[in-house]
Parts: sequence; C-alpha cells; structure tokens
Amino acid sequence: VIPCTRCQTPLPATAINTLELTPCAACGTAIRADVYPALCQETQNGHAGSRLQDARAASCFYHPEKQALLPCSVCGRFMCALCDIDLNGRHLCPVCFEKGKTHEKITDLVARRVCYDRIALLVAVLPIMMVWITIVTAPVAIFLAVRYWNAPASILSRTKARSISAILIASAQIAIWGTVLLT
Amino acid sequence: MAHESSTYRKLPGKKKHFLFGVHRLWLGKDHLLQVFSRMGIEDYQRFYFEDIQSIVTRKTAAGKVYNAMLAAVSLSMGLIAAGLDGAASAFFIGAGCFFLAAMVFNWVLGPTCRTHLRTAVQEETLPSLHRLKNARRVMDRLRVLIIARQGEITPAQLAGRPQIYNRPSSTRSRPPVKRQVSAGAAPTAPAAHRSGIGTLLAALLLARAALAVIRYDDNTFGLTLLDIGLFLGVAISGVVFLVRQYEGARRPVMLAAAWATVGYVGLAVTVGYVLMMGLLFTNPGTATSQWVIIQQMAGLSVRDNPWLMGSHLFFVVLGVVLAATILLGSRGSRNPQRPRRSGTGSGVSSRANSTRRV
Repeated sequence: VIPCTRCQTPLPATAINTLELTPCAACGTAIRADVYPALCQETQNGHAGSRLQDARAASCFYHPEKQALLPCSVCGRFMCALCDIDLNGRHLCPVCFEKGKTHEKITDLVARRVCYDRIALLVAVLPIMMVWITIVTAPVAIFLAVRYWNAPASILSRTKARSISAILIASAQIAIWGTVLLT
Repeated sequence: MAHESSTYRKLPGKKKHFLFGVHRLWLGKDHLLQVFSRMGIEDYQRFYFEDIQSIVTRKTAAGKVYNAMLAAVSLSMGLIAAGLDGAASAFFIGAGCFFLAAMVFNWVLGPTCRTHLRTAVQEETLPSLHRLKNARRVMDRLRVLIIARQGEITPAQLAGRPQIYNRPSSTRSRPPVKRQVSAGAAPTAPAAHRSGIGTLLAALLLARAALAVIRYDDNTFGLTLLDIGLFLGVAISGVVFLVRQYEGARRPVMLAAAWATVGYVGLAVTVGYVLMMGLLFTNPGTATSQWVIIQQMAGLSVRDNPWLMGSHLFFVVLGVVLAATILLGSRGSRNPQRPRRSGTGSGVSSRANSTRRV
C-alpha cells in the first residue's frame, strides 16, 4: 500500500501502523509508516449544481439556471453547489472568498506573509555588530516599525513586542549617536 | 468579513536552512501548519487532518556521517596540534575542541530521519522532523488528532487499496516516473546510482591530497602548477556537483558534502590569498606578476612555518574526508527519481469533495 521512501518497495501490511521502526524487506531501512483511512477514500468529483426545475424556486446568484442550495455566510447571496466553498464550516461564495484571500482577511488562506515587525527588529539589532552603519539603520528601523505598525504580522503571533523592541533599540542607538556627535 | 482567529501550538523539532531560514511545524485546530521563515518572510503550508493519508519516517545515516566527519576533523586538529608549538598549537587545540563539541552535540540530538507526509495529491517532506526523537513525538501526537477526525484504518481497507504508483500529482509537481510493478510481487531494489561528477570530484580531492603529501618533502614549481590545476578542477566540479544535487533528489549527506566542498574551496582560496598577500608584503620588489608569485610559492617549504604546516595538513585531511563521504554517499544513493515534492503552497486544501472545501 505504502512504498518505502528509500527504495520504493511496497511495505507489507505488517509493517504499517506498528508505531515502531520496522526494517524494510528490500533495503533494510528502519521505517515507521502511519496510515489513515483517507488513503482508502476515492476522490470525488465536485458537484456542478442541479438545474432549476421549478421557475418559482430560488436560483443561484451567479448561475440563474441552477438551483440555490444555501446563502453565502458573508454577503447572503444564494449559491448553487458549484459556487459553494466550505471554509471550516462557513459557506462562502467565490467573490467573498476571493476578497478574503486578496485582502488577507481569512488567515487560513494566507500562504506567505512579510513580517515587517521582524524586519524592523533585524534592522535595529544586526547592524550593532558594525557600529558605524547604525547611524543610518536606526532611523530606518523606526520608520519600518511605525510605517507598518498596523500591517498584518505573522499568523503565529500577534503581539507588537517586536515592533516596540525595534523602536526602543533604534531610539537608544540614535540617542547614543546624538550624545557622541554633540559632545 | 469576520477576522478568522486561529491559534497554533509549536511542535517539537526545527530545521535550519542553509545560511538563513528555519522550518517549523505548528499544530492548528484542524490542520498541521508548516512554516518556513527567513529574514522576516514566512511561507505557510497547511495539511488538514482530514486529508492526511500517511506520515512515513525513515531513519537515515546522516547523523552518523556528520559524527564521523566531525570526529575525523577533530582528530586531525589534535594531531596537527601535537606536532606544533606555541600559539599555533593552541589554535588547533581550540579548533579541535570546537569540532569535538559539535560532534557531542550532534550525538546528543540523536539519530536522524527523513519524514514524508502524503495526501491525495501531494507528498511533502517535513524538514523539521529530521531527528527521530522529535519525529516519533510529533507522529504520536498527530496520530491521535487524525484518528479523531478520520477514524482508524482497518486491515480490510488496507488490503483493498491498490499499490501507490503513478499517483495524480498537483500542478507544481514533476511528472511521476513510471515504474512497472507486477501485482503482488515486490519490485527488486534499483541498482545503485553513481554520480559521474561525484566520482570525478572525489578523485580530484584525493589527487590533491596525495600531491600535498608529495609536496611536503619535495616542492617544485611543476608540482605547484599541478596543484593549482587540480584545485581549479575541484572548484569547477564542486560547483557542478552542488547544482546536480539541487536538480535531482536531494540527499542530505550528499548535499552536505557538496556544500562542504564549496566551503573547502572558499577556505583554500582565502588561505591562498593570505599567503599571496604575505609574499607581496615580504617581497615587495620581486613579486612583479602572478607567475613570479607562483614561483615564490613553490619555493616555500611547509616545514618552515607551523601555520603553513597546519593548514597543509588540514586540507589533506579535509580532502580525504570529503572524497570518502562523496564516494560512500554515491554508493548508497538509490533511485534518486521518484514522484514527490509537490504541494499547493497556497494553504488551500486540495481534496476534492462534493463541495469545495478550504
């Protein structure tokens, strides 16, 4: 059912779901394979939506010839089976889904995020090793932290600790430079 | 639109990417999140519990190879230090201790492994689960959550499932390699794959090490020119070897050996540059061209300078260790091409259901 990831020889059923390392019969590599029922489920084709049989019945907003099944959780427009997008139990129409994806309002759809708070902190901290360039990088770090204060941060943490740290460290550098240049 | 709030819990294990970046796994309420973060940019990949078909981990020898390499380098440093005096000896003792500490650290972290996660349309490597200890812990934890969603697979279900070859792959994946497998019979293990460029690189490294031993007693202009030629060969084949590693199936050991060869080249260039600058400063009037400098380098004796001797021995040992790793690694590499490395990368679940589900 499942091939050895080294030699591609199928693992015997006795080597699957043992929760321990079992040697592959062909190459002898110690391997542990956890297999789940999703493996045995056939992939189903998506529904195209059923045709409207009764003219009085509700039709899909996007496909007037198709029967509406349920409303969009966001905009309330009626949708057919083809338009329905299930998002963790919420049913969205393609337009609301696309809006949520484009504006990064649906966290579950975010595939990449630029964390400006982290960049600001790096710009504030890393140049400390090369003292002289902090005269340039400290203001840049403060600018980044302030300019992107409201920008969405990592989906893993939502604190402003990094931005605040960047501002504090960069401010300290500017204060030191001010003291040095004035005296 | 309401803001979707999701909380993640960090799972054990992380893998540092070369130079920048780190791979980590996080546990969401209904999915596993793989994060690759580098310099303020984060890439996310989601695997929903309902879609996961299998998680397979395989023990690898990478940890042992790293330990052997570190031990060899550490031992060579110790031997070099034993033959030297003063600051040079202290330097090599310090360097030896550093490599020894790295070896102990690697040993404490435990055996290495390679973990793959499979869904209906993709097979992904989970780089953060590269230590067996962490892989086991995470797999045990995920097992409970996935079974809670999917239930447990029965032997009857397993028996009814056809063997997995030529699977449908996602848009980003390469076309799968066709394999002919007779039903019910296990295919024979493919023949060992030997890389020509790897063999060439190993041969050049060994030749350079052998030449260094010859030059220890009798250094001539011709031998110095030959050494430069061999070094250029190592540099070119090292880069080609590295590129080949990224083109084919990446084996951690060979990838590490390729990068170590690039490091070897960089280090040798640095040492050569320092030597050349030293000659230029000590003989400002005589060093008029590169040709003259090479002649002056040929006139140097390794025995005269402890630093020169130390670096000389270091490159001999490093060259032999690298060549041995490449040769042994290419012997062990089997079937480098197989259907894998796919994925949506968009965070959208790829399972086709009666309704589109995300």
